[in-house]
Amino acid sequence: MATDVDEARGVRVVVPRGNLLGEEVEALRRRLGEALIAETTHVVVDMRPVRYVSARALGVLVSHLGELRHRGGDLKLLGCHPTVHQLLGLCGLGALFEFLDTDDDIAAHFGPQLSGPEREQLLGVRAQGDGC
Amino acid sequence: MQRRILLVDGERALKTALATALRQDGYEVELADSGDEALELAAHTPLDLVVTDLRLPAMDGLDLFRRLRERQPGLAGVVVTAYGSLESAVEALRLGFADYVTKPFEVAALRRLVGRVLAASRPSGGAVDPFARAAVPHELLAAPGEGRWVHDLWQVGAGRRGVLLAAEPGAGRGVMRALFRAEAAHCARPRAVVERVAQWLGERLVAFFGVVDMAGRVLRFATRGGMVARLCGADLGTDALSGRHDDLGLAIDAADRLVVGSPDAAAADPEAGLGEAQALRAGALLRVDVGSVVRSLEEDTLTLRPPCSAEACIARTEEVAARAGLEATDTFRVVTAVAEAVHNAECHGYGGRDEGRIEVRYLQTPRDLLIQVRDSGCGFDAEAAEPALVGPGDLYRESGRGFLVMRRLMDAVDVESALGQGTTVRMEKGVGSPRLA
Repeated sequence: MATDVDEARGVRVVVPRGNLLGEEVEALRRRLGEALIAETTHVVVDMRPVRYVSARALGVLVSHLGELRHRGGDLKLLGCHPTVHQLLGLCGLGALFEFLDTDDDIAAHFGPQLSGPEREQLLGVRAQGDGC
Repeated sequence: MQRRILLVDGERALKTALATALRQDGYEVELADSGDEALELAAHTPLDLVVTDLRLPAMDGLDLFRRLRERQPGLAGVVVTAYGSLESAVEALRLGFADYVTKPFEVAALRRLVGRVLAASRPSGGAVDPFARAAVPHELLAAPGEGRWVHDLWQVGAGRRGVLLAAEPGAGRGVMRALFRAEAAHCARPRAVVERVAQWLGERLVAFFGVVDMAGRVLRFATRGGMVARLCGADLGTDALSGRHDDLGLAIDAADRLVVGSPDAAAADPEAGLGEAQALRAGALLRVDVGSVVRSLEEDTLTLRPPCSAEACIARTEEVAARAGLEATDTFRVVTAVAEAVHNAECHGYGGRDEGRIEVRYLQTPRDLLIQVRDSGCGFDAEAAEPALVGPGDLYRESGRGFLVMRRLMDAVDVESALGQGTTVRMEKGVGSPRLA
């Protein structure tokens, strides 16, 4: 499968293996769909391996963002390449997403929703198993 | 819709014969004897093509076309002349004429030419096809390549052929490229193309040129300026272009290099001690890596077969953008748009089936980088797939085809599709300041 998942309690981190084009978009869709089925409401898409994003991938991200927010959660983008920022801006979607710069930001941003032990576990998992 | 052609010529018999033939082909044909009459007629009648004599009373064909184009910028044109000259042909192409014909000509040849020109143009009132519009005229303005070799690529007959040109900077290589393209449209035989270009050039320009057989990687039908060269194939067998010969020979040596020089020189010491320009003038021995030349000839077209890798498309487009001198921001925009178009072709053109092909063609003009992505897939109803809504919500509709995103990324995007006939997406991105020859 072309997309990996790094899951700590309450937050699912989806890590594409490259540009969100072609098959990688379908893998992203499946992974985000699995998050909804698992009733995970806090999702981070790790965009660091991504330089190019197709319109279809934008559609997948936006539709899942809406669904997650409807359920009281969120979808945030981690480590977006400037080109991806630019595309989102050109498409008028820049203000829609929240962007995270580092792994530490995951816990910081989702922190209020997580308890102390869960938050510590999340930070520990990210430190040990980045990109798994 | 019936296409409308305006014939402008003072010769009544010729005009009548042409009109009869073109009407038999299903065109609506209007006739005018002079430029003024043509302008008067065009003021009330939308046209798809004007075929005009170069020499008309009061106003010549070039002036007429210029004025018609002011009213109808997308109008296609063919100029006919009994007074062929390099200058007038170049001026005609520069003005945007699709082609030129010299008298006397065969009516059948003109009919074929009209069919080809109209097939490449939009019906009157339709949008201008930026790719077709730029294909020939911009070549005239193209800067000479960085190296001494200039190349171009087109289809001649059933095979894929390229033209190889060598000339000193300032010798008018851009003009020669345009002539090759124009003549290739007339002739199915590479030999005839070379002969006609040589005829145009005469002794005006000193250049070596020939047609490369892409499949065999062999240069054929080569000449130099107004002289005719002896041709040697890979097996060093000779294939004379005509009965005339001079001392320039061409061969492919054991190291797969193109050897230019006299047959005797080819066997002698290759280090003649001359600079390349001097050696070219002298017809002395030159050696060129044919493999690299042939590879570079193929650089302007990328053919993909579904399922295809987006990475191949990205890598090629990044290379093209770098050659065009695009900055990082524009490179990203172009690559994203092309990847989008290829992805769409694959998803919607073939539905995941492994058949057909997707062709990405790149054309750089002094002002623009033009990219055409064409598939031979199932096509679609463009109007139904592309609603008039242009809000942000439409940009990322999962059922959409990304055209709105492409339009945000590129300066111009034109989509042509029909059910069962495949899809062609043409995109245009400015490359900054014109680089003139």
